[in-house]
Amino acid sequence: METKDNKTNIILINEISEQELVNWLRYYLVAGQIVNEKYSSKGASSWYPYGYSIIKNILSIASDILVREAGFKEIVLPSFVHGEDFMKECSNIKDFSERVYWSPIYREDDLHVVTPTIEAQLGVIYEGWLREGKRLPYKYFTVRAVGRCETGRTIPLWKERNIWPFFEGLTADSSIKDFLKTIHDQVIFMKQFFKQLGIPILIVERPRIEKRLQEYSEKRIEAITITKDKRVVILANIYDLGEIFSKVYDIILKKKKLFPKSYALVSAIGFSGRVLAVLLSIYGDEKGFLMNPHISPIQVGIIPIYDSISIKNQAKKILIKLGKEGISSRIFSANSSFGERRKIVEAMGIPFILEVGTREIESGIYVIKTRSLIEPIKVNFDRLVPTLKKQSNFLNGKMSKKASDDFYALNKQPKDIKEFVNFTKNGYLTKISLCNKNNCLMRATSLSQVEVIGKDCGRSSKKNIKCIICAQKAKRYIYFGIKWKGEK
Amino acid sequence: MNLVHSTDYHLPGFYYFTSNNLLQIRKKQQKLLELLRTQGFEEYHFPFLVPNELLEKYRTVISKENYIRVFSGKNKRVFYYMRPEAIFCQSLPLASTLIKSYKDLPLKMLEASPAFKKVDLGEKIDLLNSPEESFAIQGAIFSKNENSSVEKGILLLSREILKRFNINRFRTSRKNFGQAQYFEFYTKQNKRKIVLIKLFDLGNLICQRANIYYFNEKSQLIFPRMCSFSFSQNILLLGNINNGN
Repeated sequence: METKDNKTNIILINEISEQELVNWLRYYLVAGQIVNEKYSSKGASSWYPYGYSIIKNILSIASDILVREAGFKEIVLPSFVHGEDFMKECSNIKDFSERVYWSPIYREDDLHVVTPTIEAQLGVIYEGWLREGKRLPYKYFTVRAVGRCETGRTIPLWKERNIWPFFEGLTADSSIKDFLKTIHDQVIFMKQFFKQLGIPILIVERPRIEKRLQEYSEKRIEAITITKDKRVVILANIYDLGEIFSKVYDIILKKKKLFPKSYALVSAIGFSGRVLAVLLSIYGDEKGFLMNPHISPIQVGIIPIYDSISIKNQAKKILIKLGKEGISSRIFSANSSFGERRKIVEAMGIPFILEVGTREIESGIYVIKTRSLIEPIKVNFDRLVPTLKKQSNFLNGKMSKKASDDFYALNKQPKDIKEFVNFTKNGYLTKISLCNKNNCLMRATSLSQVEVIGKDCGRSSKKNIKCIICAQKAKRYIYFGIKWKGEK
Repeated sequence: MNLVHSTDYHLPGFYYFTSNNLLQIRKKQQKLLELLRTQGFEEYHFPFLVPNELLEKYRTVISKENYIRVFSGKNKRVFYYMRPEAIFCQSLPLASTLIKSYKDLPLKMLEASPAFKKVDLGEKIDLLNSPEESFAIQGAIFSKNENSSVEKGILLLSREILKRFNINRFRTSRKNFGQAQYFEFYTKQNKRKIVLIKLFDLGNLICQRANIYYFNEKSQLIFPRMCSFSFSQNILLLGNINNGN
């Protein structure tokens, strides 16, 4: 394993440690003009225009899919939640009131909370809507900043106190059938969203072996991936909250004298800017990021080789030509050395690079270069647009394939216990077949000495498959692996 | 106006926006952002919790009492302010990094995010005077010291924007705070003052205090001028844009 984490020469290889990956990310988030964590308080990042445009594109993809596939609507909520409403939520989450920010908005003796989650806000609103007779289902999402007073280490985009963006949705249904459909639609959302971003994922269900998890939700479904440091990352969550929060917020379906109260069934979905951090690290290398051409706000970086009027004019001409055809580009003017500008374009991960010099102007032949994965291609000025469009699709396919190959290289399915112990010891995301007995799960956990990640929610066949521990008929596949430090 | 879905939010003076009204207000906000982008502004995003030390740099210009204070549940001594409107102090750390790494001036920053102010319980609190403006647009220009035309440019742009939104009956007021000046564009509804735009011409006061500087051709250390502003969501609530304009 060889890594250098000085600022000028960072080598990223597949066998990188967690800390080295964090160092690499921290460095290129600034060099690649995504976010800057230099701020007057810990755990807060400022977004550069380039990074802001990327995350807006990602949020727009998420919103479109959630609206189209799961029938959600957007709501813009205030940044504060009433202190009393929030304290009701705390009854189900231990010490939550200490991990948020409080404010005397109007009076020193009347405190309210900078909203840390959506449940308390929408719980109260849904209760009101039901009382007014607005019919279920309710499916609303919002994108905003939330405040969490994290005491551990903070990493930009990964774990912060000022969390932006925080994408959250809350649903309420009146019947089990509708509720299961809502959960199913949210799983479809997760699959489509990460596929479009080019992040390979697994959908797993967290087994109910953690007490804390049981306090908060009936079931937790997660979209997970594994990063180059062999750490499992949770990218998005769906919480089956059942009646837990509808009881807290009185989201009552009907009140009849002789019958007990019936409560709405509630689920929550959420993800944060961590999705971008993972996306960047999946496609990153020793030069910086590589953005997918369908997500990048700048598809072509035009670099004038040196500062002359004719070269500037030609660069502008190319910018306009591409812009007319819907290909966004930016000129990296000759205000610093060619090498430095090239480094910036590479760090930003702009998918294509066009260098403009006298040779290109005279010959009318340009070389479309990419950061990696596909070979440079020579093209006549007139063929720039169609070639770039074709190369975009080609690069997109190559990127997805590479991400998928890397992902499956870190996924293992052992034949026996010995292999299982070996794979988990080496940090692989390891899938084993187990029966339904709790003892076998416990035995596997103690043998592996790593964490249970979750139960496979995919459609893997369990026919003729035996439990790796007791050799009886297997009923489920369970993933084991190592999570990021501090990940719950 | 009819833009708020409901006024039933449990916390008085705070509002939520849903589908149809949300689309309307977003469309107007996009128009306003486009107008600012054509003037060379770029969109950034900054943290919404602003540490006390950043606000402290404005001590001669604003009172911290005007803004909403928050503290952590665990350590009540550490406190912040919710992103204050108009002064754009949250941008100072990044502006400092950019200017010191030779970013060309003027640096024109923009942010479309909720902005906050303290509203006194004695005042009328409603959507036009809410502690949180969900659709505020704020920004700042950091410019070369000798160039004072930037502030005049923003003042002209403010008038132009109000006209574009068909808000023709507005007034302006001006206050001096030593080196700094404060401008306000407002309108009146039933004798009630409704603020539309706030603008601070801060000279190089803030850049001096925040140690934001560049070197000119003669290698002299220069503190840029800072002009910050906020376009209130009241423009979007009260104004209308003509199609295609």
